[in-house]
Amino acid sequence: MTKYIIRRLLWAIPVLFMVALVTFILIRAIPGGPFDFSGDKSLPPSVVKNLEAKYHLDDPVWQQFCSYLIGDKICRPGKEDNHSKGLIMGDLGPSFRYRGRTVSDILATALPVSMQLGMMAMILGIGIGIPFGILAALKHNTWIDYTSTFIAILGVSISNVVLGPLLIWIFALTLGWFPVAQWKAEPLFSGIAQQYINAGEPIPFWVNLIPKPTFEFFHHAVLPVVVLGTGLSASIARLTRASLLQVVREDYIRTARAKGLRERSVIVVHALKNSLIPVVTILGPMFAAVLTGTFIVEQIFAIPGLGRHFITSVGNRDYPVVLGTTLLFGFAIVIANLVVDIVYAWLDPRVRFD
Amino acid sequence: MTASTDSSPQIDFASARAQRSPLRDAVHQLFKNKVAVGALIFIVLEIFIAIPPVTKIVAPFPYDKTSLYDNNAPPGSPYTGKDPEYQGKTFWLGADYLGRDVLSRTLYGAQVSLAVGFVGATVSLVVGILYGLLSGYSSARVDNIMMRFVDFLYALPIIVFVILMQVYFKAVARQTSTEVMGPFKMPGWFGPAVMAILAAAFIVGILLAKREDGGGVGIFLISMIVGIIISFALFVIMVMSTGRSFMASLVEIDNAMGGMFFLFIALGLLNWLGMARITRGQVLSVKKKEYIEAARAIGSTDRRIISQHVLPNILGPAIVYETMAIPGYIFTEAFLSFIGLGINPPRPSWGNMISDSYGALRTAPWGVLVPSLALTLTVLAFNFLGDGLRDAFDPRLRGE
Repeated sequence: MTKYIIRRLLWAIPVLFMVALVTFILIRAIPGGPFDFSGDKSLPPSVVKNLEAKYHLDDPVWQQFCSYLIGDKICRPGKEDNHSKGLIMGDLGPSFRYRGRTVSDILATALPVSMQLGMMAMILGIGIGIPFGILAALKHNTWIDYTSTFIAILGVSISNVVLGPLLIWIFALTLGWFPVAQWKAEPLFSGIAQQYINAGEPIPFWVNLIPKPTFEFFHHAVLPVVVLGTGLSASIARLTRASLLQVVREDYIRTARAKGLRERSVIVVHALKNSLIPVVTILGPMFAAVLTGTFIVEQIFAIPGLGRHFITSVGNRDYPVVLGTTLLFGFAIVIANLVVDIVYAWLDPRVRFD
Repeated sequence: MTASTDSSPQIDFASARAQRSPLRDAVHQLFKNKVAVGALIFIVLEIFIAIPPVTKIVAPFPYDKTSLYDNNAPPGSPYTGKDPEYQGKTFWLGADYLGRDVLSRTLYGAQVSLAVGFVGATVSLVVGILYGLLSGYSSARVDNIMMRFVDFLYALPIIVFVILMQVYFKAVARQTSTEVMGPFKMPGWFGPAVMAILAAAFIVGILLAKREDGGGVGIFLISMIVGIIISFALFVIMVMSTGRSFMASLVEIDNAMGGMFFLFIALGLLNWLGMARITRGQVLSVKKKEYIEAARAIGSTDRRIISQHVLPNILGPAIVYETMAIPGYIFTEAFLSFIGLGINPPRPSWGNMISDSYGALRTAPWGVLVPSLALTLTVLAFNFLGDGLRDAFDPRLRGE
């Protein structure tokens, strides 16, 4: 098992390298640079040149990529003004637009927001999807089944782009129950956060990640989480129902019934666990769906998470931020797939790694 | 298998055999499912409306007709602009912030969503099946390498690359359109020429498919693809002959399609992975069946086995999978247009209509609600159809 995990993590290295390479090429190929401003804000060419020199944008592109990966020390030998330590040392570089902030700083504040949003949506999706899927399967061909199946198919058919404005229109603008936008999360360990602020250092990622469960926080979180979670819970419910219906027809269920087990223990002990195996396999694609969803939801609700930063930075041609966020997304997908495979093996004893 | 019951004493063997073909059986099952039939009718109607000349007749206004007197006009209000051509017309479903008719724009938006759905599905189907067939039918080593490659691509954050690619295409389009010598004018002979090429491909495809006994679907598809590629090549050559670069000619194709061409490329580049995996899995399981062994024993060639035995057996699951994937393509387009990376304005797509009217949500909600409803209904129809197809093609789910 440990060997398998290590092998999978090693496999992530070429994947992340490829992600970095493709993103690097794509973002550099896009016309326009990080210091091209238009109109009144436009900079004189000499200033742009100096700025580009400062960030080594005047180096050959392969050299820049090399610097980004393994640091200036190796890739720009004998030159002055070396600052990049390289990706392998965990240095993601400075932001071109947010002066004085590094990409790591930006990710440390944006990632917790996206993770809180995504986690709550996934909890909602699983918490609603699995019970309703089970209920629909157990009450197969009754009105409960028909209603929940219909709601579920409606749920997978409604896009975040539709559901977001719709819920805002109903619950924020018309009824006024929830705020229209924003994300209000304070760190739970405010004392620790204050220490970092006093010391003039950026607050580390894990401190930001755990929110204080205030009314404000949940009040602001309800609409975005519901938007993101609806599609998830609907697709989980559909899959759970289909899977349980399949399992109930298996021979071992018939055996369990034949030996006189109570219906409840047949369902709970024999059917449920096995019916969850296919559900686990879509948790990986679901994670990707949450990722896509956060792009939309963060855009609609003006939530300063990763997706929003990514889209803004692509527009700004803030190369290091784009690269950093993309790498983080790639890493997240690798980890999510790994977790799914481990859970899969745990649920299904037939699957063994070697 | 209800279709095979025949109570009449004189059995017509020919028709009994025809009724038993898996495809017939599936279609028969599908038509028994009322919801799926309703969804199919809805989709067919929508496709009919989305045919450009039909849209032009059905829609009361052109999609880019603005009327500043009528901005955010509520549903049912009359046209109060000065243009004599539109006097007496009504904004049945209201107007947006530029006074453009929401109903007309929603109807035009169907063109985009359906095109994206079908092109996405076709690309995925063709590329995925070819890749999966090749992989599943190759030696174990080649198969392993090809599937590792798919695994590798699977691990990439696809949506991020789609966004980056769209930004790239948009920026290149903006750059080339400003630097080249004026707008490109499409010569009049080009449209008919493309029609002729496609018609020729259609006829050649049918003739070739007929000569091939059975399994001619693949030949027909290949012929159509060749026709489409020739048309594109013709277009590129035509544009490049006026002194424009290759990229500029792609930009011109994209402009002519309202921004859809680059969207197709960005979507099509990675959406075939799932299809390839499924096809390969199916090929591996079909390959071990006795009838393949039997076919090999009587001396069938690989090509014949693939086209006669393997392909027909995997086509059903493949089509079901693709129908269920169409909502995903439609959603992606809506999302990209929503953040301004999809269809070029003023061309309407449901995504950019929602994002355009989103600012006026409080005062003019119809600008958001109408395209939202259209998007949801369309996707709902595809989901119902997909479910119906799955039940029809998978006999294990039938009955009860």
